[in-house]
Parts: sequence; C-alpha cells; structure tokens
Amino acid sequence: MNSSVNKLRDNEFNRYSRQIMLNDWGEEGQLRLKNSRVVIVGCGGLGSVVASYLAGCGIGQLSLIDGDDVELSNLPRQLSFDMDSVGLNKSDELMQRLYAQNDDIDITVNPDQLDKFNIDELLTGNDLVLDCTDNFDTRLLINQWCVMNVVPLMSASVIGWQGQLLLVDKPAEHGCYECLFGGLSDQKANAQQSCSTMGINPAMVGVVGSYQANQALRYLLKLPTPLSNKIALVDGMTMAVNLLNRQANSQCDVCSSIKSSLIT
Amino acid sequence: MNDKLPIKIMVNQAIEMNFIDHQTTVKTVLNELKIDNGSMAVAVNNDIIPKQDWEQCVLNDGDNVNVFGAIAGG
Repeated sequence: MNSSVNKLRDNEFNRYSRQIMLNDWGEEGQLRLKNSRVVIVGCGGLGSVVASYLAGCGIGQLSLIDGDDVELSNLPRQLSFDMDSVGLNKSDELMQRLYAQNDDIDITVNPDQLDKFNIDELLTGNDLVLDCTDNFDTRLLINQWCVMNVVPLMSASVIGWQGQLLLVDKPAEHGCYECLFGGLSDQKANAQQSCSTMGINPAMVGVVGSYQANQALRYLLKLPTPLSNKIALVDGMTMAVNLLNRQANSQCDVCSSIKSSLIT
Repeated sequence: MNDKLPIKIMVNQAIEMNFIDHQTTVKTVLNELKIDNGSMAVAVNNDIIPKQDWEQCVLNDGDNVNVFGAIAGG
C-alpha cells in the first residue's frame, strides 16, 4: 500500500479548485480523497457514472472489476463506451476513459467476474466497496464479504424507473443488505430483476449513479450521509426520494454468522 | 378511536385499505395484497420492519406502509 500523502501539488490545487473551495471539503478533504482506495464492482451503467465522478474528483486509487464485454444494447446508458468499445472488456475500456479524464490517479483493472474464489484478492485493502453489479448472486456475495471483513459497502441498483441505495458500514446497528432482503437467496430464481429481464430507462443509471457518487464522496470525506442508517428509494417517475430507516435483523444469516464467529 | 370504525392504511402512497379488525398486522396487509413476500422489505411510517416481526406488527389508523423488493440492475 502506498504511504499517505499530506500535501497537494500546485496542479492538483488548480484541477480540484472548485471542490476544494467548498467549506466542508477544503485541502484536508482533498487529501482524504487522494489517500483513499475505492473498488467499483461492475463497470456498466452505474459503475461507469460513479467511476467518472470519483476519478474526476481525485480518488487516489481506483480499482475496476468487470468480466463483461461491451454490447450494443449497453450504449444507450453506458456513456463511457462507444461503437468502437463493442466486444471489448468494460473495465479495460472504462480505465482508458478515466485516464483520459485524469491521469493523476492510479487505476487497477480486473477484467474478471467477482466470485468467492477471487473476492479476497480483489476487495481486500479498500476503504470503500461500491456495488454496481447486475445480479443478486454477486450482491449477496459482496455484502457477506464486506460484513465479515468489516469493510464499508455502498450498494446501488436500478431497474425500470426505480433505484435503491444504501450504505452498510455499521451492520450491528443498522443491518446489512441481507438483513433488508432476507430470503433473497431462496427467491432469486424468480426475482432476477436485472436490466436484461426487466428493462431500464437509461437516464436512471445517471440519476442513481450520481447519487451513489455523491454519497460515496461524502463518506470518504467523513461527512454525514443518510445512507448509513437508511435505504433510499429513488422514483424516476415522480422524482421522489423516500428514505426509510433500517435496523439490524436478529435473524439475518450474514449478521448472525458474524456474531457466532465473534463468540467462538 | 372508536373500535367499530375501520382503520385506514395507505400502501405505497397509492393503495388505500380499510380494515375492521384493529389487530391488523403487516402480514395481514401482504396477504390481502397477495404479495409474494419472500424477498420483500416492508416499512411502516418509514421504519423498516424485520420479516420475523411482520405477524406481530399491529397497524394503526393512518399508518403508511411501504412494500418494496430488491432490484439488481446496474
């Protein structure tokens, strides 16, 4: 791991001047971002939006994970890709775009699907995990790993005209993804609410991805975020954002396994 | 409240339901709506109710119930 940096260079003050001038950001906040490591799992609609904002804002080390190639049907909503990207790996393509935007950060690419065999290697060492994936299996795996390894997770998802966002950083108090949707693993076969099966308004990944980036930045800047103890339901039809209070579920398989491991 | 008057529950800010039974629970509402509740989450007045509490969570007149499922798209 790189050692912590405690001073910005002149060109960094210039590049980030419009955000540094914010009262609760400043040089100290910018240094926090520069010294942060963030991994983005899924480089499609949400992931490419989030990655672009985080790279632009100067996150020191970004890791991109996606084993999928760009398809023609991705282009309406995945704006980091173009016709020449079709058939090429998403994380590789996204890295090229991000370096064109900001070559002053470090980006690591993993053109593989995240699974239980590589998750330790790919997620360890990060300050924040951003779940931008498109299936329940991976979402449940990431949630379990983050809870077990005490790594904060910001999960976002979108389908149709709807989006959901939550931050899992204090599961003992406010629960985790599994606490909220317990039984998901049993129901996933008939609940695969993904873009390919349910459809999506392309603009909604921009809306929800921007919310995710905004709250991820607040978290990394150590500013309050409502997502720590709430889930946000974003309705693209009415423009309503409904914030619901979360709590830990005493019968959650993931959280109860943590308690068991702590006891033993 | 008069026990003989029905209680009014609003679901997802769109569906108004009336119940004579003043011991109506979250589980009752889901059953009435025929919602497959395996992977659903429920909030009452903006507070998420853990699944194991649905049968014991008695609703009051004017309560707002929010029912939603996980979505996976990214």
